[in-house]
Amino acid sequence: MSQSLRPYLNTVGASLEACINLTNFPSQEVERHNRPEVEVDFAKQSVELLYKPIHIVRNEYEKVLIEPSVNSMRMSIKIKQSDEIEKILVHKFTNFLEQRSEAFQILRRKPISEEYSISFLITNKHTETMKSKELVKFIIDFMEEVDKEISEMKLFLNARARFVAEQYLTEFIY
Amino acid sequence: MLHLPNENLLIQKTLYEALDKFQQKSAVIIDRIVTDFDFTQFHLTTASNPTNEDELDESKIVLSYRSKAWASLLKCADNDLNLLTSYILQRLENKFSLAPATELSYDISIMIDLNDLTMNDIVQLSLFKIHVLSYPFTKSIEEFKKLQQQAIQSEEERIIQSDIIYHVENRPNQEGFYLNASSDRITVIFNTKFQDYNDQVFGKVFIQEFIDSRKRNRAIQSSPQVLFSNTPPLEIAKVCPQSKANKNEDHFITFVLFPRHFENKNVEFLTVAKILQFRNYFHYHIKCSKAYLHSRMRFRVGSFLKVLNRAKIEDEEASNVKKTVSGKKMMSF
Amino acid sequence: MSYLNNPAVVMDNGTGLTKLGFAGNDSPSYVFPTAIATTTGKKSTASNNRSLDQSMSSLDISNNTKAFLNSNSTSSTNFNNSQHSSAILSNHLSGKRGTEDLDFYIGNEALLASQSQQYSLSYPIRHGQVENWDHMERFWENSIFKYLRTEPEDHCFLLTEPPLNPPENREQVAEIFFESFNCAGLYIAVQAVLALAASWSSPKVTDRSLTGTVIDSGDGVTHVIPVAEGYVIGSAIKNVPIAGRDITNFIQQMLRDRGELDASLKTAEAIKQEFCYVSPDLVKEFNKYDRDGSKFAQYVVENQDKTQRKLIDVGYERFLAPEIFFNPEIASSDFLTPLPSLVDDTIRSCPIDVRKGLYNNIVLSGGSTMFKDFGRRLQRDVKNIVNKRIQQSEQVSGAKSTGVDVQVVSHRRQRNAVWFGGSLLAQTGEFKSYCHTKADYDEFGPEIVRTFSLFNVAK
Repeated sequence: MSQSLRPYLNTVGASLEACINLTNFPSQEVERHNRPEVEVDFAKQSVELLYKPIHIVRNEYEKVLIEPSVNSMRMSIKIKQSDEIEKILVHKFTNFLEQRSEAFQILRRKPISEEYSISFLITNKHTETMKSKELVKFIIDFMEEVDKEISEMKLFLNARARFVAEQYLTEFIY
Repeated sequence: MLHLPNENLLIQKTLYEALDKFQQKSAVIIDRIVTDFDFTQFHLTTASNPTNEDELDESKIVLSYRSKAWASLLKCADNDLNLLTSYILQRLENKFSLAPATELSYDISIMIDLNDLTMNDIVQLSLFKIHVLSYPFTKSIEEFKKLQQQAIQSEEERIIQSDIIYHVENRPNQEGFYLNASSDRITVIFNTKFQDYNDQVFGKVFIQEFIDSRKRNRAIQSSPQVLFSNTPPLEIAKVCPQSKANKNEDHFITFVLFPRHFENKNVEFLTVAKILQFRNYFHYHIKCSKAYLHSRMRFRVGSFLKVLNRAKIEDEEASNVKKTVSGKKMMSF
Repeated sequence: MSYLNNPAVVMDNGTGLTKLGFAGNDSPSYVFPTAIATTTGKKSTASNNRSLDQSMSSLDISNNTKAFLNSNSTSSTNFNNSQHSSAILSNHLSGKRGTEDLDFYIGNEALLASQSQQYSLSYPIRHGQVENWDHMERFWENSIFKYLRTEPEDHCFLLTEPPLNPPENREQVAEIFFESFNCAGLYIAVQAVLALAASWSSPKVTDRSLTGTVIDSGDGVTHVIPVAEGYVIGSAIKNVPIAGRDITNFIQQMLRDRGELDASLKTAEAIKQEFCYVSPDLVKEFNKYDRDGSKFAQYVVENQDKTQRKLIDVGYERFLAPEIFFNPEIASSDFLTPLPSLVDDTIRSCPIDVRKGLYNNIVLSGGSTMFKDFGRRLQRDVKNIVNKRIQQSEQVSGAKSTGVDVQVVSHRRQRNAVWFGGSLLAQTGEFKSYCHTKADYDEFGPEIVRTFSLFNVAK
């Protein structure tokens, strides 16, 4: 693990823990509705329910945006992608996960914008059925593992390409 | 499976079963479509009786072949159909004859007589596609031999390059390969394209390894040299217009075959078969690696979910559930 | 447009058997077990390896010589001439790290490979649904590239799914076919609907409707599936836990009870396929046998090198075994509903508007419906049940009923009806327009395969 990763993850973890303090809060606009305030249309947002978003940036490739509100928080991650292959792998992987977001519950079907690779949405419903500490742990674990997985996949691709090429050319040795 | 087999298993199976049934005197009527890579299609049918059109002759099978490459193969044979068909029949050791009429929408039909079909014949027929496509290779090798002689005879030491470039277009969008002989080598240049952007990037990784592995691994030094460019290499620049739209779309992969790769008939066959399979092999492995990435990702999804599930607060009820020895749940009230 | 002339690939992956082939053919090109043998990851020593190779090659050779004799043609795919088998043996993969995902076999070769320690066998489909997607993906990979020899980019694919398959499974299939294989087009059809389409080949069928009751009986379980205008009426589907395997077991039990010389499963299976038929009346059939000795048959069992022959008598099981569909109590103690009344129950739990169509077109599919006169008996029994009920209601109400026409359709393609139906639909010119293409997938994502438009059947 590189030197700056630990502090980066620690910061993200601490910020998440600070933000995950969610309560049940019915909508002020629509009667008997209870909606995650961060997800409400920009024009209709009630400013007093939203807290200041937090940007945590490690470098140009990796950053995190946390948008807290009274009853929900949204967290978007930009996963490291330094070349074309990593870009594709990240895209493939996040798509694959989003396809299964039903199982993940807190995973958003789409990242909030092109800028980010993947987004999570945690509402008070989630914190009621799940331990917030463990949720934060999950996200941190996710961030760590994703990087590892992407670089492993990239390594695999190179190794496979090498193997395949060598095997093909070996066929010409008589 | 690492290497794609050269033989078409389905042709083998179909002919084998037909032969088997025929020898058991319970001949069946055959009407099957079989495909192969690169828009190649076979049609195996029971032949009709030459004397009576409406009756079938169960001892004979017509094998019809068509492929995208046929038109350009004809061009390689100076548009002489007889030249090409007799070449194909000769590759099959002249054991088969042309069917009286070529089946509609197919390029060539040959007659197979079950009365003297051997196991070796079946294998050869399952290699039909390779036999057909080997035509420009055979021509190039002839060309090479001629040039080699010329080079030896001429005083000065220089490499003579042939003007003839054989071009086989076996897939749409100008995908195909070019052959050019010179006095010390034969150059095969593939033009391959990717429909998918992701594949294109994956493809680049693979191609890079094709180029590098020969340099890196001493054991395969004697394999053909591999080169790559996005623009048509000099050998074929005259005949291959560069696609205007997108430079990155074209992938020209060059294999340089040296005399040792076709020094005798056996080696020559293996080389040609391997080269012909290059595109299929290459694309097959890109797909395999994507399949493998999928299984990695499935595994990851599983492990992420495990971590997430740790966060779940267990239900009040759940704590009351006790398990019996056999693992069944037992509720206490 | 480039793939216009290429035939579509039709794949029917069942719990037990996979049928692969090209649209336009009248039978699948390959029928083999939906099995995959993957490396166990055990480090095999060189000697161990060699012994596997030897055993494999010896098996291949024996297959070669034997295959001339027994030609159970559709199910034997392991035709390996010496040249090919040598290709199998040197797959260059054993022991190489990082390439385990390429080291596997499917179908009959998987059964062969699993005899060694190095490979373990698994069946990726359970109860009609894919359980192990990793294995399934590789199974498809090998089917396409090795057996069918097609570049998926150049072909449309027609796949089948069981009724009540969750849409998520469809999405997973699309993910694999479009992302891994880049297939040109994909259509996923419900098996029962394809079985209905296959029945169009029967001369009995005059209008090509997609309304009917499909009785699909394979090896493990028998389904009764009502289909109305191309849509499965999911709530009315009924299952019978009696199918091919139970019949085989029943025969085996009878052979054992009589103390025949050979009562192996294989023998029972062969007797089932060769001798069994459905009788119109049990008692009369017993009498016929007692009067006429020629009804008893003999089955010859030969050992591998044909030095020994055993004669197996085949008696009442000829008609008794298939009878368990109609009188389940002779074989099972917990399931007692005869198939005809189950069919009747199924249709009666469907909306009333379609019931006539369902009675009118009862279609058989699958190997276990292949017994002679199976369709005729079923038709008679269902008709009896229906007529009795009509009579009763006429007595009670006094009104005259217009009657219900019961018709059971059996046809020559019954064994691979699902596959054949797929081949029939996929060879039509319009098929490609019904497929979802790779471009569609890239634009809309996997959700796109949740709906497929039905084939326009009005010809």
